[in-house]
This record gives sequence, structure tokens and C-alpha cells, in this order.
Amino acid sequence: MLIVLMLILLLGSFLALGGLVHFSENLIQPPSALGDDRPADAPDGA
Amino acid sequence: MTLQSWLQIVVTLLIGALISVPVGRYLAWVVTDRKTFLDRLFDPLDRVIYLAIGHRICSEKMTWKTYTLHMLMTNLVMAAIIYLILVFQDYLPLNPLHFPGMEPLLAFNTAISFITNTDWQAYGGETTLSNFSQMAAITFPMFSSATTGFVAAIAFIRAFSRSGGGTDIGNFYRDFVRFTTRVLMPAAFVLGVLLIQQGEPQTLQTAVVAHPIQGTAQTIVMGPVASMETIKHLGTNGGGFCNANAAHPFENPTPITNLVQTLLMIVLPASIVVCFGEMISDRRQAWILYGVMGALLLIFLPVTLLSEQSGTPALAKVGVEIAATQGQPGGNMEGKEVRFGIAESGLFATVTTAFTTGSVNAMHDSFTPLGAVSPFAGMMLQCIYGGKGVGFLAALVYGIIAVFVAGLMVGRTPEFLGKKIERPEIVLVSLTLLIHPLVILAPTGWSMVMSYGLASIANGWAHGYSEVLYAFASSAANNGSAFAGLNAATRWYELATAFVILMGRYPPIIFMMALAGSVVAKPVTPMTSGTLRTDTWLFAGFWLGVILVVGALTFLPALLLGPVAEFFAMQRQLLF
Repeated sequence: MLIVLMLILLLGSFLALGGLVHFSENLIQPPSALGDDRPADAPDGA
Repeated sequence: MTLQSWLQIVVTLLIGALISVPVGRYLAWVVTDRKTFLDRLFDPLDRVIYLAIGHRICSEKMTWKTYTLHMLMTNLVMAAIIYLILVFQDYLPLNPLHFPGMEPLLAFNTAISFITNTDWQAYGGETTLSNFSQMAAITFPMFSSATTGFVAAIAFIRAFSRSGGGTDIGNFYRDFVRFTTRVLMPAAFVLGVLLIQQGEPQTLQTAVVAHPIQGTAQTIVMGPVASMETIKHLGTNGGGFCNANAAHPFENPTPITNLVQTLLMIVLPASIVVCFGEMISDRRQAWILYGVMGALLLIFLPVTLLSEQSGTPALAKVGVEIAATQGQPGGNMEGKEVRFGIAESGLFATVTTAFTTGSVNAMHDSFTPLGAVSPFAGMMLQCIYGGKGVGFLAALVYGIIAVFVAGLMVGRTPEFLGKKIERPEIVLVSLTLLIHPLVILAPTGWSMVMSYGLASIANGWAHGYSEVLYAFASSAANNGSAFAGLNAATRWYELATAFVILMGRYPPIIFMMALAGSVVAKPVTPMTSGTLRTDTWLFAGFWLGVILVVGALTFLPALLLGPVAEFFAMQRQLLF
């Protein structure tokens, strides 16, 4: 029983890491994709 | 310390630095798909591997996300295989001593530990593992985990070396296979033969029974030790065949093996920096980074050496000779092999933590309080060359922070290697920087207030706290060395260290790969008079300062409660 439980924990851990990849992808979206109303190519300080 | 001791250290470090240059250039050839002298030998093997994986997937250009997901998937599959081998080793071959299957929680901890290049061992190898497990579940991930860290760093460098506009950072499988077959496999084979010649066992015979004069029969376990020892150090892994690790005569029998193993720990992490310079066609920038890392090593190494040579006031009071002489090493020799002495033990301890390997040729628990500071610093800063690839990435995290802070101070555009550093990059490096102390300090604090955490501590007061802090620092840095004294084979520590190992390994890699994905699409900004140059020694000094200040702000309070408090107690002859 514990053998299967640990295997599931292992799979779950990596699944969560996969989720972190998607989270990171959102972080590097251009500003417009994050709901920022600035255009993606707006100059600094705009 | 004697002049001879200092010379040993200087010569070892010089050889390591000299080797790293041609090796680094060779690494650049390998990862940029140029012809190497090993192609004729290994191309057929590569083709078979590509065929097994699938030609299409091995030739496609990958975005950072695809690259990272394939990395995680292969790591998951390998971790699951390792776990199953350990749990069911009693049903598998090459187990003549009839070791039972590993307990599931310990197997879970071990599988995660080895797939992440940590090699934290909550078990004694020679009394727990069959030869099959030692080869298939321990030695095998030593290759694959080292390669995983390396290819992550290479993909990251590629992102900075591309002129922008694309999303391609290479192909994970191609990088993985080429680094394994062109670098690790041939080097491990040749050096393994050298270690066998020096007396390390390489056999499937499991044990011999000795009958010493005391009359009690003694079972001496043997096995494929030499093949593990090479990749253990070459891949900055660190897990030992035996519980005593590289202090055991089978794992480290002669001064030559000690020298070779120290150099093996140094060579690839240092070479990655040289490889970086070749890939971005800017050797000067690479030497700046090499200098920053080298300066950190030279700051912390003497702290350990001098502290160990100074011994303790309590030792001096009982008449122990503290100064080294021709006939004896002096200082603090507790926990050290007489054949290695203070110099080689101090150097090994500093290198194994700075280059985040984790093997030990002396017991770090027996070091003087300040002698343990440089191992702590190596694991906490994680960028004094660091482990395969990951240490290099940590150094660049500090570099990007330095660029950003310096840019703000002088009012210049923050750019690193020609790429603009903007909000997403700073968020990602901040997350990378914050997760490391979080997974060290939070579980340490928790362990120090919970009965199940305190129950594992063998020593009292500040030293007991240092044991716990060291365990989590070692896990988070994917180092794997132990401070001993702490019983890590409990449910709490097996689960907690496994979690810390995972969090210390993959989230920083994921964040850095995302950063690679962010910068690969950015165009290279032409250098103008307004650009803050990062390839000057002035910037190197600033980079070094940022590492030391951020490291001190993060970890100094934790160190004050442990080694520093213990040092002051030691001055009053209180030992723990």
C-alpha cells in the first residue's frame, strides 16, 4: 500500500512541477496578454 | 599549516583551472554540434538512441516550455524506475547478500535524491543495497542527473547567444545524448580504469570474510566501486558506495585518487564557464564570471583551513600540539583520515560543497565551528562554481540582479549580454533567489520546534541546530553531504528532505528556463555609451559584492545561531 502511495506522491510532485511551467509561461507573456493596456512594443516609461 | 600543505592546495587548484579551459572549449564543440574526435566511435550509438526515442522528437526545435516539459518527463520516468528498483531489489538479480527491498519512504527519498543530483543518503550503501541497485538505481542517475543540470545551463546560454526573434533553445534529447556520450561516458570509463589501477574494487563479488586477531569474523562488502566513484565526482553527484563515502579506503585509497577525485569535482563546473564564453563569443565575459566564482572560493577556503589548523582551546589546554610539524598535522584531526590530514580534508570539504558534489573524505560534523562555515557558504550561495549547470545558473541570477541594481544606481538601461532585463526577468530571478532560502530556513525552523525534528539530533545546543541547518542546506543545494550526527532516517526527515530536494532543484531550473524563453525572443541591443558594461573587472567587483551582501542578508542570522554561536562557546571551552 505504502509502495503505491509513494509512487503516487512522486507522480503528483512532478505534475505540480508541470503546473509551475505553465505558471512561469504566464509570467513571461507580453504585457497585453496580462491585461495591461499598454501595447507590447511601448517604449520604456510609457 | 606547513608550506607543503599550502603547495598541495595551490597545485590542485591550478591544475583544475588549467584543465577547465580545454575541456570548456571541447564542451562548446559538443553542444554546438560540431565534429569531435569521438564522433566515429559514438555516432552509431547515438543513432540507436535517437531511433529508440524517435527521430522526429530528437530533431525538432524546442521552445523553452517544450524543452522543460521533456526534461521533467524524462526525470519523472527515471525517478519512478529508480524507486521501483530500490523497493523490489529483493526480486532482482545480483543480490547474493539477500538485502530486502528498501522501505518505500526511504526509497522515495533516495529516488528523488539521486535523480536530482543531490545524492543525499539516509541509508548506508554497503548494508542496504544490492550490486544491481548500486549500478542501476545509483550509478545510472549519476549520469542522467548531471546531464540534466548541464543541458539546462546550455539551453539558457543558447537563449542569450541567439540574436533574437525566435523561440528555439535547442533540442533536449540531442543535448542530453551528446553530453552523455561525448563527455561523461568516455571520461568516466578512462578515469574508472585509473581508479581500478589505484586499488579501488570493481567486481560483482559482493563480500569477503576476514578473520582479524580479535576472533570475530568481519564481512567486508565489495562491488562495482570504481565505476561509481568516477561519475560520482565527475557528475558532482557525491553519493557513496559505502556509508563513509570518500573517507573509505575502497572509495579513496591513495593520495592520487584523492587528487583525481578533487579535480573531477572541479573540472566540469569550471569548464561550463569557459563553454559559456565560447558559446556567446565573448571570452572576456566568461573570465569575469570565472574570476567572481574563483574569488569566492579563495575567500572561503582559507577560513576552513586556518580554523581546522587552529584546533580548539580545549584541545590546546590538554596539551595537544596545535602547530603542524614534520611528524604530526596538529590542529583539529577529529573526524579526519590521518592519511589526508587537515589540508586535503579542508580542501575536499570546501570543494565538495562549493562545487555541490557532496562526497566527503572527512566528517564535517567534526570540523571546528568556523571550519564548517565554508561548506555552509558553498551550499547557501550555490554559485561558487556550483554543481553541474545549476551553480552556473545561480551565478547568472546574481549577475542579473547586479545588472539591475547597478542600472538603477547609475541610471542606465539594465541589459545583460545585450538583452534587456525587464519585469518578467526580474520576477523570475527573484523567485529563483527566494525559493532557495525559503526551503532551507523554513523546514529548519520547523524541525527545531517540533519533537519529531528534535528527536533526531545527536548533539546539543548550537551544534545540534547546525546539524539540522546543514541537512536542509545540503538538500536545497542538491549537495547531499551530511553533517552526520543527525538521524535522517525518520519519517519527518525523509519526507522533508525529499520535498526540499525537489523544490531546490526543479523550480529554479523551470524559472531559469522561462527566463531563457523570455530573452531568446528579444533582439540584441547594440552597445552604446549608455550601456552598463558587464565585462569589466569593476562590474566583477560589484557582482561579487551583490553575491556576498545578498547571501549575508539571507543566511547570516541562521549562521549566527549555529556555527558562530558555537565558535564563541568554543572560546570558553564549551564543546558540543
